[in-house]
Amino acid sequence: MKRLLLGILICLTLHSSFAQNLDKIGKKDMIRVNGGLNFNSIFYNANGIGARREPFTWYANGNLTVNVLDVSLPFNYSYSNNQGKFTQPFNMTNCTPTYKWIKGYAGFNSMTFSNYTLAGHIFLGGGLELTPKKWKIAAMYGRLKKAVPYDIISESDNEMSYKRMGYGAKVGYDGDIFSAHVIYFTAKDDIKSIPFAPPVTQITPQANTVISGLGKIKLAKSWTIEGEYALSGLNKNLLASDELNTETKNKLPFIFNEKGNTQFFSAYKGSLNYTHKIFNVGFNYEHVDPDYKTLGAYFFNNDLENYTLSTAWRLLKNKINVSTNTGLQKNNLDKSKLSTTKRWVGSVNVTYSPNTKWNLSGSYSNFSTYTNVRPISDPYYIKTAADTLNFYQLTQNANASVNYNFGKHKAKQGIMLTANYQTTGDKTGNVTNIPSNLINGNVGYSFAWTPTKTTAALSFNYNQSDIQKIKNIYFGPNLSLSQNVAKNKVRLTLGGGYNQVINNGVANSKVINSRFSLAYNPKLKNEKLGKPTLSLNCAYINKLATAQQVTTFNELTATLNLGYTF
Amino acid sequence: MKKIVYIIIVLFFSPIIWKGSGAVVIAQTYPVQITTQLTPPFGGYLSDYATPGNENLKVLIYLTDFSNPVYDVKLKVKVEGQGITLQSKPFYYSNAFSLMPGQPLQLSGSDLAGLLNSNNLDFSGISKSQYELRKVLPEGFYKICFNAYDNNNPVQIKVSNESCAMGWMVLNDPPFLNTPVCNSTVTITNPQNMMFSWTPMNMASPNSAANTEYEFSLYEVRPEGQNPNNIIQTLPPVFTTTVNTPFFNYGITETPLIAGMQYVWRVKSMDISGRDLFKNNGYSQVCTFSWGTKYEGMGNLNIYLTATPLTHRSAKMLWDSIPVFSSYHLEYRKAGGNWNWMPVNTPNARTKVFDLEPETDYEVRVNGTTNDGYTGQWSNLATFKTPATPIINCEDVAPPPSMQNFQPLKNATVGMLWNIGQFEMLITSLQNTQSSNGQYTGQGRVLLPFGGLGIAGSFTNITVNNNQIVVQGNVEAITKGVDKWMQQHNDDNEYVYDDSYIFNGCIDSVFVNANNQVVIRDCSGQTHIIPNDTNGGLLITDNNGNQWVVNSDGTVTPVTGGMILPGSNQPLTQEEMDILKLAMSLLRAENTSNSVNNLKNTRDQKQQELQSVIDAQRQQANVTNVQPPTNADDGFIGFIEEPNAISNTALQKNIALKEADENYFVSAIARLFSQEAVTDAQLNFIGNYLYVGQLTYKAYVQQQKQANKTNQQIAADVKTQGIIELIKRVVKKRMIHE
Repeated sequence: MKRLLLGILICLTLHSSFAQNLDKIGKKDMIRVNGGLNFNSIFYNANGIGARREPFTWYANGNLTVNVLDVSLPFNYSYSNNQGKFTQPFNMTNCTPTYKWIKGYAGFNSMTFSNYTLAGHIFLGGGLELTPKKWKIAAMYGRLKKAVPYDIISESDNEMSYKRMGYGAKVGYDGDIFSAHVIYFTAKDDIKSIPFAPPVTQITPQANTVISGLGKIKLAKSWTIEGEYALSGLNKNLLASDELNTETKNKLPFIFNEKGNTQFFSAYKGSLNYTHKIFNVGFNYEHVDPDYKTLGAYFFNNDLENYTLSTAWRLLKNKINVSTNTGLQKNNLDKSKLSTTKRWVGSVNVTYSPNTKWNLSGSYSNFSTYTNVRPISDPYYIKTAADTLNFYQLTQNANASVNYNFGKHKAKQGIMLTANYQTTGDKTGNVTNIPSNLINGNVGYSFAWTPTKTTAALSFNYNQSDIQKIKNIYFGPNLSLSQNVAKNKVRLTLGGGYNQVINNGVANSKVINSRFSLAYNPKLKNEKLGKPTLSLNCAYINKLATAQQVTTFNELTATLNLGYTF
Repeated sequence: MKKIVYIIIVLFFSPIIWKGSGAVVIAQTYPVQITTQLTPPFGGYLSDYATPGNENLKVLIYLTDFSNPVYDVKLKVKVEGQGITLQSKPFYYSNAFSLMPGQPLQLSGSDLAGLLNSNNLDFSGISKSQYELRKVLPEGFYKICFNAYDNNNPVQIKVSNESCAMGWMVLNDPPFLNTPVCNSTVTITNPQNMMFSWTPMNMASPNSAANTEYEFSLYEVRPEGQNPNNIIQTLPPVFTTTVNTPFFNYGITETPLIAGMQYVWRVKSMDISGRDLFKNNGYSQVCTFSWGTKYEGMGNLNIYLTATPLTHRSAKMLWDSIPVFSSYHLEYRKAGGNWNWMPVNTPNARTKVFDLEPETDYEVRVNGTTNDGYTGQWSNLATFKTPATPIINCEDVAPPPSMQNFQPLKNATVGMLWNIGQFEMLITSLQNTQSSNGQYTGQGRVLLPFGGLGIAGSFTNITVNNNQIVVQGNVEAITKGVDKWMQQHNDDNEYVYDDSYIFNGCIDSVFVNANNQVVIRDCSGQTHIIPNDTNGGLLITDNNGNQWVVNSDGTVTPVTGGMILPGSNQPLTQEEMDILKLAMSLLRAENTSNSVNNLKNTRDQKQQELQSVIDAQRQQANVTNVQPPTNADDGFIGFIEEPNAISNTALQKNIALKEADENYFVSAIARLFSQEAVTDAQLNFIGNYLYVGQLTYKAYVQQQKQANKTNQQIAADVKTQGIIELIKRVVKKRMIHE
């Protein structure tokens, strides 16, 4: 009955809103069409190395929006010949008609309810989104995965998949002070959708139901608290033997009836944010149960507990911006793992622009991981190498750049200095591996002559990597020129670099890389007809060996883009 | 114990043998021989071994007693390790299996379902409910053993050897990706050079710790905006390699990265020995990054913006012209508070805006867009403050506009605000929208600085400069004053409308744009297009009761002062007309140009007084700061009290100024109302829209007549309680809004 009432209500609203626009019928703006088309083709040729791309690939995508009265009907499509051996569809079309606060989805679409439920998974089907005033209602039904049979010829289950159908809904209220939403999502694989599945495979037909609640409250002006709790029930294998059906306590009674191999897990997170004129602070907590999974989301890490604290400061009238981020992550939440891994991530980012001429920035980030192997009190256990498996990894990255801009409006000049240092090292037990280092340095000068719209940039780079006792250095100059021609309708850019490569003290090769690009934006006499664009980009690498053990190769990648918007 | 040591040696030092089969045969003299095989990878999910068709755990049973043609046995299972023991309940046996001598029987998959069902197992070291939570054995080294018993004997008689298979049961997490940080934009280095690094999560597994390889794959996100997870499922990578270090240096000879392209990458952990299981087949969660922006390394793309006010309604903005940008997007808004940005798009490196509010702080920013849609960073945030509205004095003559540096306004649209003398005119219709010499003909509404009040007028070939200031020509309504205005309203003598629209807010003005849409400009300067059309006329009412009628022909008629209900359009009687005429002449006599000027002078004086008080207060504050009091107590009191006293004075002065303001405005408008001789038709119009107290003019006159008042008396009351009140109400409303 409630559903019927709602239906009538919506129909009435639709009717009355339409009534005001009926006058447009017959007028010239009753139907308006606009959109854009894009065609992208990539040509590839390589000599001396195995091909890293197909010789010719193309992508076509675009959209077409038809507006009838107040209803807008956008159609989108994307196609490619680059599907290769992949079997889930890349080629897709969709339509998302919109009328005031009503939005529909048809075709290949994705919708996001929340991170732990339906999280942007592509589906083929239909959906609806209603946003009357502050209410938000969303619902979907569709195919999440296409059935792909077992590849008998190559005996591969890599691409095998069962047909997976799912549906779900999200209902909520988004007020100024608080908002609350509830989510229901369920999906199930069709056992009969593929004729044969190998007995030993990790791809099993599954069924899943997940419910979730989300809330957000604004306290005073500057505090925000958010939270989500999701409970997921998953039957890992619908083919599992009935005899194994032990009575697990159903945490989702009435809505999830899958018996057998069912597991229940939860995921939750909360965040607290404080905004002030000159700084923001955010604290986040996240907990994802071991094995947490929902069929509405692509794979995300589970078995983790995460605390993050981020701050952002704006000092001296926004001249200095400082942001920091630190996070602590821990796994092995149910103590079922042999080892516990703790990860600490920290980063600091500072930018300082005292005036429009100077711009200084620096950043540092640190990723450290410590895996602690649990002491084992097993009678059968004999001390082995495994005892010294405690693992420690440290990755650090530091970055600094200085920009100085000068010159009048007509001739703008700039000097730029950047340096980057990254090091990764690990230690297993008592064995410390020599850390691998990477150093990049770059000095550049740029010049722009505004009257003729010419820009030129010259730079010099030095790169050094020390990886597993191999020291690799390359350095050289780079030049790029760009010029607008034909009344700014065509922009030409030419760039190139020449690098000498030195490996463990021996000059072993020279690398020439060059780029060319052309962008053409003609203006049609009647601008109402639309706007075509054309661009061509070429990248060419040539590695010339000067030592015997190095291979000489060249590689050309050319991209042609054609676009038309109307 | 020695055997176990041997097993572990086998386990660790002969991976090849181990990989082939996990069989360990221990020969004893039992009639039944059992061999258990555990094939890698070793999963800790016991139920997986019981899935129909699964052959990871195989039990081979062989009857060596050839004296029995058929022999039935039943099995028991025991899983041991990590201090945990799961074994068949004392009274539980599997189904019976019939053995024939010399013919081995192989059990696997669903044959083992009953044995591995947790209901049939006794748990020690872990509780059953703990196990059932995830139905997986805690990670570690386990052995799975089987024993056979005589099926036909109710007494437990073991008829076979105990056969066990062992393995490290681990389900590893895939690697965690470190750098480049997910969703980041990587600064382009020329030539390309970046380090991809990740953290392996299987370093505690003895199976794979030393045998892990990583398959690194990099994909382009094409077309833009595609779901990265869908990309990896549907497109081949642009670069892939296998390494044995938890990082990869993507260098100069790797597939060239495209500036501005979004990339998605992931790493697959693989155990070379094949013994370890990984979640998600070893694939990490995906991570995206952008390889800089398309125009990085093309020189300095920062824009420096300056903004200066031109008049109380307009300002000009200038910024650096950057060659790669083909158009600019400028946004301005009132500073402080969450006002919406008002956009302006232009191909030039300068623009002017004309719809600002007087005496208001504004902030402006601009960014550039290239031909192919790349948008640069925002410029600096420029701020400026518009000057106060110039004071209107009806006696004032517009200052002669400068013809020096005259730049004509080449394109005009309905809805523009032009400055004409000290007034502003909202353009409501135009005969020509383009003019090379800045000459335009059309209609507009001259706005007085009071809500809703305005004088409609027409203009012929007036010259407008590109600051939207009228430099030459006259607007009819202004020269002819109220008379023309009244006449305009009386041409059709009644409002015609068949539709009504109530705007939830305060309306500044209403006009019809070139597309025949009704546009409302609200008091904060924002415009709203309302769905209603103008066919048959439309009445618009705002929250303050101000009203406008949008006529069928697209012109807009403001309903002076609001609150007036159209529809009572009966002609005034001769007597009512006479009284109104009297009231008007009284109004005129009262508000001479001298009296208006006097009021203006009073107002200016009050303003000066306020200013001097404020200045004094500032000085006082400085003095207190410079000379700290010698006596702490006195000084403390003085410090607190003095500024208070001053601010009270300032408040009083401010009130006095507001009062003077009101008196002056009311008088100026009253004079405008009554300046010229008024026709009968105009009086009809006013009479129909005038309230005296709570009564309409007609009703009031009738009531007063019955009370035997003279026309003179009634006219005086109509003047003060009706016309002046109406003007006051409008003025007050406007002042409160300010």
